Amino acid sequence: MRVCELSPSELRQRLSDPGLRLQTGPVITNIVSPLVEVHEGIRLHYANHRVEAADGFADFHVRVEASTGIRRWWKPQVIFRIDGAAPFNALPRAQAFPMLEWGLNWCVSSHCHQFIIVHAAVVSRGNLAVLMPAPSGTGKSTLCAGLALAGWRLMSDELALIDARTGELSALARPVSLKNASIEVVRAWAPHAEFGPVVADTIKGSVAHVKPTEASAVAADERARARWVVLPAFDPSAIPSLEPLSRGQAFMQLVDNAFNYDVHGADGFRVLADLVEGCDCFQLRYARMDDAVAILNELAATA
Amino acid sequence: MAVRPRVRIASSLSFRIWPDDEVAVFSATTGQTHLLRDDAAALFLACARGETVNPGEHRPTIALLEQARVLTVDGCV
Repeated sequence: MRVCELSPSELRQRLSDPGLRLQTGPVITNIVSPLVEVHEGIRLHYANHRVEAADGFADFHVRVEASTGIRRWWKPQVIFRIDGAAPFNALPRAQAFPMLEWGLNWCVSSHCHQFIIVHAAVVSRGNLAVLMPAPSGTGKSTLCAGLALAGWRLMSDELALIDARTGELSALARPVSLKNASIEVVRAWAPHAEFGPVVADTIKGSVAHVKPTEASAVAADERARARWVVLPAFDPSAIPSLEPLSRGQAFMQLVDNAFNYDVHGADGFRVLADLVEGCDCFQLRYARMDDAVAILNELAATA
Repeated sequence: MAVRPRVRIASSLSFRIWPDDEVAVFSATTGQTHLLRDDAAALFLACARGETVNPGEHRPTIALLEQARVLTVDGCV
């Protein structure tokens, strides 16, 4: 069953008790929340994701709920809990859905050590993937959203899940988180994109999420092979270019952006080195989304 | 009789050599990964090929690589 097959009242009921078991690629999360902001966010962004049976296995049990205390009367806040513990400070209630998303990212990046997890956007054509490792603020989510809305399959805007034995990539295909100016860039690029509300004054500025395409959500179980490593660099004055990058540099970008490389030791080194050896590696400079998408479309056509 | 110093690759090392003479190394001792280029890569590759390396000619590079547990030096440099 998919989320869109649940009526609004059924969805509300599941999210209240015993929770909605939401499958995002290899991860199943039991989500409980009484908050309408969370209900609406899940109804929009996860419409095409699979719902597991209530008595099935869940990797994570999370809740997003109103925090208690006197503040709830004048500045309501929400809190994210996993297994009853609250790893983050409370946030204003308007940030309930972004907090769920950030919390889910944290669950995966902190716990799913069957993968080497790299801070990277991943999109694919067929079963061949482009891996774009980069720290926050470099525009990888913006480019990822642009590619996904131009026909590429969204695997993740944030977390590359690399099988720690085989090097294959698993998809999360969750909403793409855009910040500040990126929101209007993507709106202009893809007027058909479905956005959640813009939430202002978060720690990252204004944030909005873009719904994954149906094709991406439905294909979330399908693995892909890394074929390209591309380091995106947005520069308003750049002449668009795709320059070769040495494998050593590409490899170090993966290592430096990995969340749990240290967990995997020599095996992690081997898997990432093998992955890079199977890839062509580039530095992409661009000022406009059209240029970046055209360059990567051309690259994919050569495969 | 003085022992001739010998430079060797650390036993805990995994490494990968790429065509443009870049060498990625992982030390299980430190858990650190390094990308060796230029002099460091050339020195490492010489050791990997079993060539005799005169430690005196590469003292600063060897010191860095030894500190990173990439190379070990038997005897005094």
